[in-house]
Amino acid sequence: MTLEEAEKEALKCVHCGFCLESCPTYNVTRNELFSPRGRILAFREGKSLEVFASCLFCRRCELACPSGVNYSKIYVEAIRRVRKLDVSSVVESPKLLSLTLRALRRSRPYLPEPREPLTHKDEGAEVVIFPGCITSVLFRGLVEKAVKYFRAVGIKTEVVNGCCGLAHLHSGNEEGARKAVEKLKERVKGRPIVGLSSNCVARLKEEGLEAYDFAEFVVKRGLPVKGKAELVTVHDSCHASHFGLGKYTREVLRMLGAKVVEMEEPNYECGAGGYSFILNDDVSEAVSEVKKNMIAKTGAEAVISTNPVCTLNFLRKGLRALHVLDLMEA
Amino acid sequence: MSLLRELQEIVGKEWVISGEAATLYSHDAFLLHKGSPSLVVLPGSEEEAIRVVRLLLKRKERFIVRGSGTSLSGASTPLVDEVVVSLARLNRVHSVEGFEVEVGPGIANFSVSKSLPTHLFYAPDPSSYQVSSIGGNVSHDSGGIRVVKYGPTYNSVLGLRVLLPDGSVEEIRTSPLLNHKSIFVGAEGTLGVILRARLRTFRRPETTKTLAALFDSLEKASRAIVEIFNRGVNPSGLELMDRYSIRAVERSRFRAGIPETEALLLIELEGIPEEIRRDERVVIQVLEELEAEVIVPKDKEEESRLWAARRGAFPAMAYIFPAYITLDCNVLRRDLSEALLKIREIARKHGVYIANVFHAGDGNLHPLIPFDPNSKESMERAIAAGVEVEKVVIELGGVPSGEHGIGIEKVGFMRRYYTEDELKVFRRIKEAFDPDYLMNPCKLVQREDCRPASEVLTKLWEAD
Repeated sequence: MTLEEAEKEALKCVHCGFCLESCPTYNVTRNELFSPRGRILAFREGKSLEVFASCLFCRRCELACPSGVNYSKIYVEAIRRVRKLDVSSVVESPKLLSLTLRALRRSRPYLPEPREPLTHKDEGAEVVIFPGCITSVLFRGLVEKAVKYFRAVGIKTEVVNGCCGLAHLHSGNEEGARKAVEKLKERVKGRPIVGLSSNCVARLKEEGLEAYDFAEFVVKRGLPVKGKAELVTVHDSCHASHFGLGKYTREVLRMLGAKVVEMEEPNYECGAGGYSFILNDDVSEAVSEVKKNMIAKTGAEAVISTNPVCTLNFLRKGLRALHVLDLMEA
Repeated sequence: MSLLRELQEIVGKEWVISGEAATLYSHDAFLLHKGSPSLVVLPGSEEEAIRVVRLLLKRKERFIVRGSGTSLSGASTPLVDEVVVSLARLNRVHSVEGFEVEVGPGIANFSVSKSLPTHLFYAPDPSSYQVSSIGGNVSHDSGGIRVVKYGPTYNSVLGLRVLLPDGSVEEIRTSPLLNHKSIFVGAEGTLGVILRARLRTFRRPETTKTLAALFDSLEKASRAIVEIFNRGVNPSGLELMDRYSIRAVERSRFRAGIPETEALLLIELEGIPEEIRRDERVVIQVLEELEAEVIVPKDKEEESRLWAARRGAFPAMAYIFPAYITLDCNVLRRDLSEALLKIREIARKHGVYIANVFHAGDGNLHPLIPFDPNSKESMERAIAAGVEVEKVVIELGGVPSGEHGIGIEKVGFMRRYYTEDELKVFRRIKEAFDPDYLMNPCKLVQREDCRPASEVLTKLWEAD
């Protein structure tokens, strides 16, 4: 992807403004500088590119745009020129990631304790479990549950602790994103991937890999599930929404006998914006507060989040956040 | 103290935008001109807005008020480096009571209906309803598909709180004598700043039904439109899409499997089931008499798809060209046929693509003329064609603007449509309210210092 491609996308924008109301940062500021339309104009004119720094990269604008502008392409080109903090090298290395999270944990007690990523490989494993960087280090228990589940339904698995490249894209590091996916492809060797981080799954799907969200795999393969029935609401994480992954989560919840009460806008941005929430960003906090109120209004006992960064942000806001796997019995 | 500092003191530093970043407020959805705002200020409350505007008035600073910046005529584009005052943050719902709702000017049209109890809705539905602001809707007297039954925004405005150019705040209500509400609706921010709007709401119809009809001639479609009313049916939506707009939509993500034909009529009926059955019978009879192929959508999903195709017609043009002129002239229903045929001629003559998709029920045409923004020649041809379309419409006894406002786009037609005396009266009204021409100075009524700021505007404003 080149600057040319991004410019081509930007030219498709007819400045109609339909994206404004779908954008969480515009929603909480009402300021054109925090809107997709404003950011695209900045890119076209080559000025004020810092407006991209406040973008949470949720891509909801793409769903609202009647002209089909691929905002993502523009964002990646622009953010490269702006973003100062690039965390991609940290998330690629479990050791570095653990160290960083341990340090952050001192002032952010909602973060779970970092653990060593689980290594697991069945002989002749036909399916790859892909936890994603955050899940492998902060939610190792979830990975263990996934391994146990597949064992119980007779599927041999290998856990591959790699990187999907989303963090790289978030910083405009396209080269790095591509390399991460190449490395992953080598280790996966064409086997289907079951992901425990919905946004990673979306990223891999966009790269043409055969990747499934956990719930999606369960539904598509017709696997049995058994578990607790709870009153829950479902959060549809940003990138995952583009692939409609939420419907599989809801299907599995239905099979589990859980009662789902929908929040006003299930795919409203959680507010994390990658790592903005860690940086105590004002806009990210305002968005997080809107989402929290939406969740609270449902009266649900927990919010189902199948994407770890969203889960962390919900924990930060004092909510009970669970992956679909957390409701399943062994 | 500098203006910048004074404004910062009122709204806070982060809500005043200056320098390079201010150019992000340089234009709205009208693409033929970009202004250069000197400053942009975003008050966060009615109190702040009043203080900001009073400061600008005191310092005799020219300014323009902006909502969501979705005007298709350029009404919120600064022309003389004005200060842009965005009221987008004034988006509260102040009260909901009976059939009335009071809102801030910055709230999106769509959000108004969302805030109402489920049995009520806010009727005016311009295609931009998901983002366009109520303040903007009131200032343009915006229309939409439902105009044919509910009338434009004017019919839904019960009262306005306006900040006048002399600094005073007035509550304007409907009145039986010398109705001053009418002055501010459609005034494009040239006479006062709308701080609050009291709107009327309607009861949601029990049920709706959509019918579609394919015609092999524009003339027959036009006759059908008139005949539907003649036989006593007033649909809640009556839209026409011509061959070219169907082509554009079917190439876009809004495609609905509409076969290419001279005209597609989309009709919406609403009411209780008995009324709908009766209206449906009458409408189908009219359609069959005029040899149309009648399509009765089999479920709500198919109905939605057809309406989405209609609503997607404008953006679908972006698949052909990324820029287009959207005219919005209005003729009497009975003159539709002649107008459409003349527009076809004009398109041929100038070698441009003109797609017609519009509110057939009230004769509000939208001849869309796409052009290549990188080609001066292409732009000029489009403008020339547009100017001729407007002339033809006025000759037929129509009006230059049905719902998008005059803005920048149709300034040139004011002279053609209104007499010298009428223009004098407008000037006197403007000067009675705003003698220094501080509020949205170059719209509707212009002084000499509003000379066209570019070659494009010169061409657009000649109209003679």
